Amino acid sequence: MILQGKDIEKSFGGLKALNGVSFELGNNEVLGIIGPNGAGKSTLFNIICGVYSPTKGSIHFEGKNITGLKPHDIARLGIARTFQIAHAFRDMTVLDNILTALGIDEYNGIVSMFKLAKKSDTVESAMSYIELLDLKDAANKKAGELSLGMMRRLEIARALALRPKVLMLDEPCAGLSYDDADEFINLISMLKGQKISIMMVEHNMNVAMRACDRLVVLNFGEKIAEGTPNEIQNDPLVIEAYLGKEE
Amino acid sequence: MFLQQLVNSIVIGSVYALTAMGATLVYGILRVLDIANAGAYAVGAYIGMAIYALTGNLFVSLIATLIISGAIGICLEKFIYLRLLDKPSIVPLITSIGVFIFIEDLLRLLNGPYAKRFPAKLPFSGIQLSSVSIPATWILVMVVTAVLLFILWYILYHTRIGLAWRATAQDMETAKAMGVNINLVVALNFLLGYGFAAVAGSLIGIMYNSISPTMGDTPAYKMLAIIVLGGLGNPVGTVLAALIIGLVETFLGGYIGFFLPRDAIAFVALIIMLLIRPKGLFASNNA
Repeated sequence: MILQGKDIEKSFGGLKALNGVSFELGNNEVLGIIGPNGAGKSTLFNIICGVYSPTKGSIHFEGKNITGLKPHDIARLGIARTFQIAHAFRDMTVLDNILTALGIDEYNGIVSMFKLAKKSDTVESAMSYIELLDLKDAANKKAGELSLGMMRRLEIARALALRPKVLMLDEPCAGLSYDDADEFINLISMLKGQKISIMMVEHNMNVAMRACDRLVVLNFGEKIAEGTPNEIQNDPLVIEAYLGKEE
Repeated sequence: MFLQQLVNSIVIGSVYALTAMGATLVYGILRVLDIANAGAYAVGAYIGMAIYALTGNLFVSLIATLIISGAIGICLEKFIYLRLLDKPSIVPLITSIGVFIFIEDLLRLLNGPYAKRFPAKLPFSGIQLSSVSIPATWILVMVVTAVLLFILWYILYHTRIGLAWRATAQDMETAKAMGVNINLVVALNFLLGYGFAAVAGSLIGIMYNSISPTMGDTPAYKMLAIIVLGGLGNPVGTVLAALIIGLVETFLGGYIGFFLPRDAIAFVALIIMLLIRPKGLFASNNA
């Protein structure tokens, strides 16, 4: 087990967005967080990434308590994330986007910050991520000029360039065409081959069922089910949450 | 005559660039219009003069001016601006105007309201090329500005912190997810931003051999025109806009100066610009 959340609770004002949610992400596993709108998926995601701190409960990464750490510290520990709406640095080239991520270990030192960013070996390693995600032709294009599918790939390439142990994907298939989503599922299995554990929030049931080893289902801030895609598909509570109760 | 005017406008333009760079950097990262940056311009002139009087070394005084004023900038950032970021943008704007007035009056209380001299001895002399004469102080202004702007450009486009700066300017949340320590980026931003404006003030003090508490007034307004022309938060655009304003002021000022004061030209340019290209001449599309 590489990442674990224990009894996470989060209130915004009087509103409880999460109520005692626990999860475990195994080594080299793909875990999906699913649930209807407003279930608390994104809140959980943002708590793990350090955007919010939980009201109660804790997050452990490789056995270390990382609750309440800042986003840049969490990224440095080895938890990389993508965003629900593609957040490429639009005015920078694809290559510069990746180079920004490759600097992750050096942004905290006053001296190392001034290291050159475009040394040939750094650029080479950036190109390897660009090639991995099939973006070579676009390497010197501004990220803002890419199609949505390519921008998502860029985000994943950039997250991989952080050399993470855990990759957090926030609705990676939102807005993608059927073919692009298909390609994405292939990508996930390739990443699994590279010993990266993946946790993804996904709205698209079809994608979640196919891409994930295990699913955690949230509804109204509580965990209502957990299991393999097969088990989840047949869980009456889940069906009820998505489709409503039978009369 | 033409060449003389050209050199003249480059000198003016480079000082404008250095002055406006601080506000550009601050706007680029925090989206705050930092009028107080022009306070650093006046503060820099006084610090420069004091240290020059103490050490008699121009180089030392310029470096010290940059560092001390940069440190003041970092203090303003830590104690004032960072606390106001979640407020509507009018709040930090008004605050920065308040800080600017505070700085001016503090200088007035400490040094008196009258202009003082800043008689610097330069280690080199001016150049006379046929009809063009370039005084030593002008050479100083151009060389120092060029060196500082080159260092800035090099940092922004070739170092880790430069990539981090550009990333943060575009999207702070994502930059954090890349492991960028925003506090360090913003601190460096204020160090250079206030430092540059302070050096610009020192240079102008040396060039005109005169400094006064209110010397930051006109730069404060003109800086706004320049950073808007330059595309708000775009460092390269700011340099180009500053040079353009320098050129226009020098050349047009000679012909229409009798009914339109020289300092008004930048604002006429600003108004025209806002009417036809509100994002500025060199707008980046991340705004």
